[in-house]
Amino acid sequence: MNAGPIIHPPLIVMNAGPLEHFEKWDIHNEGTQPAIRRVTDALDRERVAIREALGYAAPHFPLADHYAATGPEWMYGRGSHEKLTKSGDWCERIVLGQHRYMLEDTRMGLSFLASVARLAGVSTPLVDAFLAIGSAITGQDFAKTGRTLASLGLGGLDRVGLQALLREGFR
Amino acid sequence: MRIAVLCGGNGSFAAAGDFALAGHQVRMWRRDRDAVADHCAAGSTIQLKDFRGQHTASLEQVTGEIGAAVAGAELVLCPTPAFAQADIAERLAPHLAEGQVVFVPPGTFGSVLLGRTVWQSGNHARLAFAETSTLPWLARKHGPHEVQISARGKHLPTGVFPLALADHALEVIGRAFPGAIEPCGDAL
Repeated sequence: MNAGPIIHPPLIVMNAGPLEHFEKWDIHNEGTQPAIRRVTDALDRERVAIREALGYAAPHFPLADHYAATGPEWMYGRGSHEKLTKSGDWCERIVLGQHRYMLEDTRMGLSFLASVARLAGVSTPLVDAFLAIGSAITGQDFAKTGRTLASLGLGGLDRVGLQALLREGFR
Repeated sequence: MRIAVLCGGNGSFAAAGDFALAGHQVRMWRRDRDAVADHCAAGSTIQLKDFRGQHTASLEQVTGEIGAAVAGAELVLCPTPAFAQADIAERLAPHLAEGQVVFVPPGTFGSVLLGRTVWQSGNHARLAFAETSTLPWLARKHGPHEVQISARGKHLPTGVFPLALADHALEVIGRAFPGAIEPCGDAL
């Protein structure tokens, strides 16, 4: 359900050139172009496919609702994308190798999504692609330094075992 | 209610400010001792700006002792990047007590990481760990004790670990985020 690993990796990876070239670059404003939005939507479909394969029902909070002027409200409510870009607070310096969008959302968020996708038997080409590109940009292997079910000590559980743990907790 | 807010980034300042202005008793724990001393010397307040204007939020305490911040809190809020969760979990583990609710926004499955760390530390109190999908504030600090909030989360899908404690956890979290929490099952 996490939103950051869907919205941020395409924004920083596909804006890597301008982010490194310009003093300031707002990934949510000039950095949110139709080609990038098509990729965030496709990446979001991979997330929703994992949810559905594991039996989680809607609402899935599709990221497209964040940008839409009509339809269901997304997490921050109507018009929040406009409020965010208008505030100017997000026109900030992003150092690709150090920023939270890379080290949290790409490294930990997508590596976790990839490990859950494997458990669910869902293929996630875009998740894998952003992990590979993020690893190349930062010079670390996100498959090893990220967060996975195995790194949390839960790698031995199948789907039924994991969902029982999530219901009852550790005993 | 008494709420402990952990750390001192954008999300923590937005959280502590909003909760204090809503009438909750807020204690803030920060790792950085110098930042704690500065914040206490400045009166343990937060200048919070939003679409309604500027407000001064008074915190009950700003402390470098995580145990002091957490003691007696019904809710412990941990609004940090996922890569900070493991260290915080270790520090938090001995201080959590029966019935407390730890809320991790955003989660990245951090609720289970925290739950596992606390369990493995030998603290077997009945504790609920919950997570939601995003930081409930679009916020940036504009100074050491000043934060601007551009938007607040209105729909926060929230999962609870373990799911068996969801009713209790969602009731407590719901008092801190009135009308915004939407139950979405287990931590995954």
